[in-house]
Amino acid sequence: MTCPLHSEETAGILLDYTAQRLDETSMSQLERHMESCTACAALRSEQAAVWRALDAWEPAPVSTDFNRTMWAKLAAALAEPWYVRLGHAARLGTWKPVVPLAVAAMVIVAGFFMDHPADHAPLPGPTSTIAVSTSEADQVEQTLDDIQLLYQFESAAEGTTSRRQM
Amino acid sequence: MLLVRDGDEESFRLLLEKHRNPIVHFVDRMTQNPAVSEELAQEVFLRVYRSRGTYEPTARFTTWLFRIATHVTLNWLRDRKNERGHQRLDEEQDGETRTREVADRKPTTEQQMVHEVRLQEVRDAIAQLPAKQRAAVLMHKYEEMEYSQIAVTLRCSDSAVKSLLFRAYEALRSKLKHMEPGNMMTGGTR
Repeated sequence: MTCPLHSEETAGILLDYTAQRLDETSMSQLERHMESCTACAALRSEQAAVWRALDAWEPAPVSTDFNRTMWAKLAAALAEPWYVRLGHAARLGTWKPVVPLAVAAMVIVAGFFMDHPADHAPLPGPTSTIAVSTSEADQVEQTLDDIQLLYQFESAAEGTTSRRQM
Repeated sequence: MLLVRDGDEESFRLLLEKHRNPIVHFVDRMTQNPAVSEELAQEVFLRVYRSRGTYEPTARFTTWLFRIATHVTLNWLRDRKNERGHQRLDEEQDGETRTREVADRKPTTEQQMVHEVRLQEVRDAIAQLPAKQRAAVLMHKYEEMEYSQIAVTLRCSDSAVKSLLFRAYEALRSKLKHMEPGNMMTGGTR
């Protein structure tokens, strides 16, 4: 048997041995190993001392009115208004399954607003004025003319192609 | 627990009876503060009751219960650590030193006194462990929980639990080495 002390993972076998959680085969194998391995034997004896020391630590008895206090707290909890209980649920993490739904709803709403920006853009008030210079108006007119020219050119080109095919 | 989830109060009463002592003892050993341990244990059961509707039997009930207990206790220890940090600063300013609780007790016999001192050493050794290691040791030693159950409770892997336990017991061995029968000055106190 290789020495279990070589790694933390295998050293757990010594803890199991002290806790008497090993099966008989592993226990006898380990005992044979400890006859020749002083490090493991020393650890067994130290661990046994820790085990005995922990055994001696007996817990304090539970008070007699534990249940009474518990039921009183429970009754108070049941009498709490719904919004307080909702707060407790939030703290306990029961709201976690709702998170993906909430995120999905937010994405849909955000998408709707992005898709319909004009519907919700603030309309200019009756007193507001739009200052557009004459040079900007000329540029817009020029661009519209260019687009119309391109459209006519494209229609003419399509007509020529269809005649050739015929 | 499935009956409790369906609103059966009697089942909750039985559940409380069955798991009350292990939870109170676990919290008591974790906090080492009898004044708050029962209060925290009651908080654990309150949380169980409040979240009964969302309970899913994916793990053993005990594991789920100890997971809540560990969560409540670790939160309390974290809050207390912050408070103690402030307290320590105040004490340093006052130049006072704290006296150990064991000095206030009045033993009737020498044996009892030695036993109390040793118990205090054990408590101190446990208290000095990091909170997660402490929880792992208490669940391993006193609740006899499997590595996998402790792993679920502490939300880590089985190998991480083994590592936690190994380091915790290593620290305890170093602190309680003198309690080995061969090293004890006076024997037969337990």
